[in-house]
This record gives sequence, C-alpha cells and structure tokens, in this order.
Amino acid sequence: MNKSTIPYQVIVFLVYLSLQVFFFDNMVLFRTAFCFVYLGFILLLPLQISATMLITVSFVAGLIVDMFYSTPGINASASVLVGFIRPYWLSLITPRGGYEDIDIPRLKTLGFSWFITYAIPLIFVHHLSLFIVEAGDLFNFWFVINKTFFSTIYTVGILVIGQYMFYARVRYI
Amino acid sequence: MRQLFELIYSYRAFITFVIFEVICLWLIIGNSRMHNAAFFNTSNRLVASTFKVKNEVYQYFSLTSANRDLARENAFLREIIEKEQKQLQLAELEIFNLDTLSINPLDTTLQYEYIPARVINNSFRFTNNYITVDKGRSAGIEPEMGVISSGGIVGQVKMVSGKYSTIFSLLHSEMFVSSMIERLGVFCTAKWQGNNPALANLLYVPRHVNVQEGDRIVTSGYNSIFPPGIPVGVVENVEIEGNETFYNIEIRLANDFSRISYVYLISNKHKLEKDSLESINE
Repeated sequence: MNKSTIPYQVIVFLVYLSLQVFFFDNMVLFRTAFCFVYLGFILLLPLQISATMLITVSFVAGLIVDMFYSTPGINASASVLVGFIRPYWLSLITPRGGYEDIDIPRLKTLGFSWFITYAIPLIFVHHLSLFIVEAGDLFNFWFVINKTFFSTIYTVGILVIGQYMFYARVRYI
Repeated sequence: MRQLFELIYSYRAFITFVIFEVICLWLIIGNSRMHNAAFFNTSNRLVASTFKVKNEVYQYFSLTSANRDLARENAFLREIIEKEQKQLQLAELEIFNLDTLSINPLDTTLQYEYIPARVINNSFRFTNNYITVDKGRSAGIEPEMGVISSGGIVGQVKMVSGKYSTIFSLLHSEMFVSSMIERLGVFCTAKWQGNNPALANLLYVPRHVNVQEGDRIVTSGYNSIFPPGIPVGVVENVEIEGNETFYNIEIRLANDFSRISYVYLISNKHKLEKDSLESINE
C-alpha cells in the first residue's frame, strides 16, 4: 500500500489518537512530563504533502485530540503552529543527499541524529505554545518552562522508541 | 486583480495558518465562558462513549480503593441513621410526655437531592481540569449543579448531554468555592493554586481571625450550589506578611483527585426560589 494514501494516513491517525487517549493520557510522569504522542502523526506525514494541506490536517488532528481533553483550540493551535513551521524546518535541515526517494521522514531512513534534530525543536515549540496557552497567563512561568522541557524529552523519547519498535530496517542506498 | 490573486496564492500557507489560528483562538476564548461550544467537550456522545469503554477497563485497577471508599461512606451514613433514629425515638417519647410537637411531621421533602454517578474520565494534571460522568439530562442533571464525593467537594457541572456530563473540577482556574472555617464560622473562598492537585489557597481570611493549622474548611451554603458543611479541606499552612489585610493560607484538599470513582450530583430544590428572591433584592 502506498504510504501517502489518505486511508492509510487515517488509520495511522486513529492508532496515534487511541494511544494518546487510552494510554498516554494516564502516563504523566512526576506531574510535569506529558506525552503528546499524536505529534508523531504530524511529524511523520509524507514530505510531498502541500503546505496548506499539512496545516489543515494538523488543525483537524489537534481539534480531535482537544475533544478528548475538553480543551477546544489549545492542542489545535499548537499543532497548527507545528504544521506551519515543519516545511521551513525541513528545508533548513536538508541532509546531504536531499530528500530524494524519501516519502516519510522516518528515523530508519534518515538516521538517528537527523531525526532528533528534526523532532526536538518542533515538539518543543508545540509543547511551549500549548502549556503557555493552557496556563492562560505567565504567572507560573517556571512551572510552564519546566513542564515544556520534561514533556519534550518524554515525547521525543517515546517517538524514538516507537520508531525503533515498529518500522523494519530498510536501507536506502 | 490577477496580481492580487497571485499574491494571495504565494502566501497561501501563511494565510491558512492565520485563519486556523484565529479559529483556535475563538474556540479557546469561547470555551472559557461557561456552557459554550458543546460539540468540543467530553459530554459529546462519541467522546463520552469512548471514555466509557476506557473506564470499563481502567476501573478494574481501582476497584479495591473504590470499594474501600464506598464501604467507609456506608459506615458513616449508617452511623448518622442510627443517631437520627435515637433522636426520633427520644422525640416520640417527649411527644407522649409533653404532647407538643414543634416540627411539622408532614414536611418531609428534602431540599437537596443526590444523584449518584460514575466518573468515566478525570484529569487533574492541567491548569484547567474537567471530569466526565455517565449521567446526563435524562437523569435530571443540569448545568451549574454541585458535585461532591464521599470525601468532599469535587466541582460543578459545566455541560450536559443526554447521557453524560462534563464537570468543572475544583482543580480549575475559574472555580471559586464559598467556604467557611468550621471552628470559627468565618467565611472565606477556596481556590486551587494551579499546580499541585492536593493543595489549594484560602482567600479573604482577614487578619483578626485566629486561624490555625488543622482547622477544617467546609462549604458555607451561601450559594445555592452546595449544601452547607461539605468538607473542602484542612488548613495546612498559615502565613501573614507585614501589613497585609488577608492571610496567605494553604489548605490540603479533602478529596484525592487522582482517584475519584463515584460522585454525587446535587440538585437543590430551592435554588430557583432562592435565586429569584435574591435577584429581586438587587
């Protein structure tokens, strides 16, 4: 099956959504580290997707997650921001061979260090905007920064582990 | 004109971004007012039924503590019944002796009705937390009703669908609870601090009041949402700075919000009467 078809992506999203709602909702570490695993869906959308499409998909994904958290707009605004930044960030960190023949920016195809460089800033931006909007003000500024920092580590860690677990080793020459 | 369209087209990504962010902002602001954007809330039937499935799995892990809490509450209620019965018997004796009765025996209608419900989703780690329960409009639940559990105060109903309701947890930045220091009868307001789900602040306790650590805080009954005397918490830390008017008081909440499994929604039969009387006075 072509990995960029819409039905495939819908199934992938439902998997991420159920992981988020059924599992990671309860997996908050030390009251500060939250895992927003559904971001993996936005990060791993095909590279060929158009910028407007990417933003729209991010918006819908965020809004659906919001429905499960009773926080209309908060996850959506953060993931729209990520969807907007992603193409610019991708073009900034283009690896030496370019993105030729690469459909989805996976860890196995582009390497561990590239994937980390790709994921950390986007996830950090997402978490920072999410926690600031969620707090409503900057009264608890250090608490917000603290949550953002540890949640970023947590989410990136889970995504990297997921990459190692679920995608068979494929070598691109 | 063509140039304008070309301009729009070349900035299409940015324009889509701005449009969606504006929609998000509208949703965020709209949600902070009460009873709005019903579709995007956990009382939405699709979302709530998903939570129900989740809860049916997760509740097995907390059965022991839920049973313990319910058993403890049963014991407590049994104690009250026994006391009341004894008093009734005494009263009957007095009636025989004195042939007087000050209370009208026909007036047995209760002011508060308690509707039990099961918690199917509960958040307590965000700045604004919500609880979803499996009872809704069909069970007689309405927005703004108070919610308590066997431990104490839980929150207030935010939104109701046919079979489910979303509740503002006490752990919400806009929840203020009119309360009272039980020992002294002094009125104050309890509000959650925003990060630790076990602690809250007590506001507006004036400096002349001799508040001490360990004082019990209960609901005042001044608003028509909660009956008086429901536990809110226990004073943990009392401070006062230089010439401040009010104390900085920290209380430990009576409820452990990380494991609420069953709650009671309170319907106040006299609410309409009280509210309309009060609005006349204004």
